[in-house]
Amino acid sequence: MSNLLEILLLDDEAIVGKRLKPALEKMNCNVEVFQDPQLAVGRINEKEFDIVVTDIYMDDMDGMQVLDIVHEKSPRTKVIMITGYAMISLARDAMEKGAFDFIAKPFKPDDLRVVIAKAAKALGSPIDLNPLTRE
Amino acid sequence: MSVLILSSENKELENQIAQKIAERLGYTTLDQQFYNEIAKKYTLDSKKLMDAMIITPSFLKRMPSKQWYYYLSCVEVEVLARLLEDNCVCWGLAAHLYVVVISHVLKVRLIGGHSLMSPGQVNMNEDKIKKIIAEQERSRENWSMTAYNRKEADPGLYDMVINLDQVQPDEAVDTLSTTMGYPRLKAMTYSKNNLADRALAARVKNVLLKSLTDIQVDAQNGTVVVTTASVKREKSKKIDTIKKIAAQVEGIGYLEVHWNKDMLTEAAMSYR
Amino acid sequence: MSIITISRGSSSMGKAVAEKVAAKLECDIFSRDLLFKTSGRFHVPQKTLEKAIHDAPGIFERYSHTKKVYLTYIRAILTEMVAGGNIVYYGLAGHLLLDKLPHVLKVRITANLDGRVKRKMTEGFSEKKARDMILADDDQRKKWSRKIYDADPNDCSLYDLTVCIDKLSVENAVDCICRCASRKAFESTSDCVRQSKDLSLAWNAKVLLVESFPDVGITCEYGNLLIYATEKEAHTTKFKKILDDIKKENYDIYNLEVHTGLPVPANAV
Repeated sequence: MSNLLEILLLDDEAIVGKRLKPALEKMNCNVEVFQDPQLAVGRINEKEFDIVVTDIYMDDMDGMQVLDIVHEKSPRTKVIMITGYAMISLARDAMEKGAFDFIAKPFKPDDLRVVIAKAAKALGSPIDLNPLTRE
Repeated sequence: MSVLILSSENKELENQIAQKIAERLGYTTLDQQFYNEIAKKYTLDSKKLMDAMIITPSFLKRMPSKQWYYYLSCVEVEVLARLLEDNCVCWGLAAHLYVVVISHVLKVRLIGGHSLMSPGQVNMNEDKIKKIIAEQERSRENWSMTAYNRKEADPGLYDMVINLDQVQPDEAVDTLSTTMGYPRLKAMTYSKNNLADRALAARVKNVLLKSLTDIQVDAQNGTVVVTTASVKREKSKKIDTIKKIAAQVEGIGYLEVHWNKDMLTEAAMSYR
Repeated sequence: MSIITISRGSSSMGKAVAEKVAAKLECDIFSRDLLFKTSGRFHVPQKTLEKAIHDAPGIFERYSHTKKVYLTYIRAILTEMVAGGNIVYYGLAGHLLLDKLPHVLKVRITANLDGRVKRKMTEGFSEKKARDMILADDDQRKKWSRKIYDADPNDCSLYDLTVCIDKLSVENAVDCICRCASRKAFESTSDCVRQSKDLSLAWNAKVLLVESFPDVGITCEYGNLLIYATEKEAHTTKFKKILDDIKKENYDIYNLEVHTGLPVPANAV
């Protein structure tokens, strides 16, 4: 049985997935990266993820809709919103809808790792931020 | 982490309500007793520090403008640092004036309730009480405009205003305790970073105000922008001084200094 | 049983809040119906009544007395409508029109200008037009409030609760208001119901007097109507005839007295 944290990362900019995936995999997480929200939602309907990290402003579907879909499918899943167009009103709306956290771009991969670790703790499956250094 | 900031002219009720909310929610408290700690840390006269939070700069009251702004900035730095730490109820430290646009901070103004007085005040007639309250409000408005260019009683500054003439203190405690539980007021990385930016700006402003005047500081994601003014011939010297002093502050990623000509002083000096 | 007034600037989500509060508390809700009913009862066009309750009297306005008459009509209907309790009123100036009922929960909804402009723009206006309309409306309401009641609509002491809709969502605001409405101070006790009915009687009496005797003050307690007028006014035939009409039209009046030479009490209508 896998103890890996299952994470779905959705952002229509390819560079985001490329930067963040290796950083999260270092924490013993299994990361699936998507650029197309429709494909991501399809995958969410197939598999229950522990954490979903999603951009907000995307062409086909916005992150708020993804948040609703995730919570309908799996209320326990923690959803983390990321955006380059952060506004207070948007942040508050996201939190009210049940987002676990809201992060404004640009941010360092380490910033996201800290939030992932918090989400994992909230799920009852705490993870080590730096497992490789302890070996 | 969430923060509740209360503001009221009715100090007794403000204190009562704040303490009860903190107790009910298990939050830490931050009130005027903090002045002593601040005074000790910055080696300031604690009485003068408390006076600075009430009176405007005055030669007669031995509170020069430069010193006054520096004292205020010491309070701002320490309060913001505390608010970053934990769930907190804060009152009596004018935080509602300099903690702005942070989504996990709820700012509440409590008005009225002067009929719920302590026994010592009961003997005053109503007209006298109204006069005292009006005078207090005028004085506070004058102070807040001078310090932060904001009117303390302006409802636009607050997320909620509760009138204690009708709503009982315990009912206000219930209302606010419930409100603090709303998801919109939950701290998030974005809002915590915003607060951290304000705290950084306050720290930079504080070190600069020790020796300089006319300083405004903004910060975002570690980028700090200092805006200042002086006469033209002092421009380079002032900018260099700012860069040298500000470099000592931890957490600055990038520093920019914007200079404006001090037209008034320039004009005054040109007549000499 | 609650009586709640919700005041707000235009495009501040006040209507949305009022509707949800009414739904949650299972109350009746009204706003424009007030003007509709007043217009029907007193045969004054709705637009005219709307002007009376919204526009500040102009410098050259010849009929400020007329405005007073219309406001009396509006207040008479409003106090009748709320007398039964369980009402949410989100029309203009509720906090001022119902100021004499202590158990009314007076709420103000505020919002920042940019948000209001964005909402107004969804009605099809350009940004500049939306902003101008909102600021003009705010200005009119401020002037009206100042002129008629010597009050600033932004003065929080006129309300029991002021909520900023930018920080708290509509749902949060509704929750706050409903909780507040359940507090003791806003309970509709039998005494409060009696006060409401007395106030309604006083305003209905004022309706008959205001045109010819605009400065009389009227109080009502337990159905005992007290009219405060000058000696000169009280001795006119017209005044006496109107008093007879008041007794005829209002069966709930237990007793009617006229007091002359006395100062009008602060709580008189």
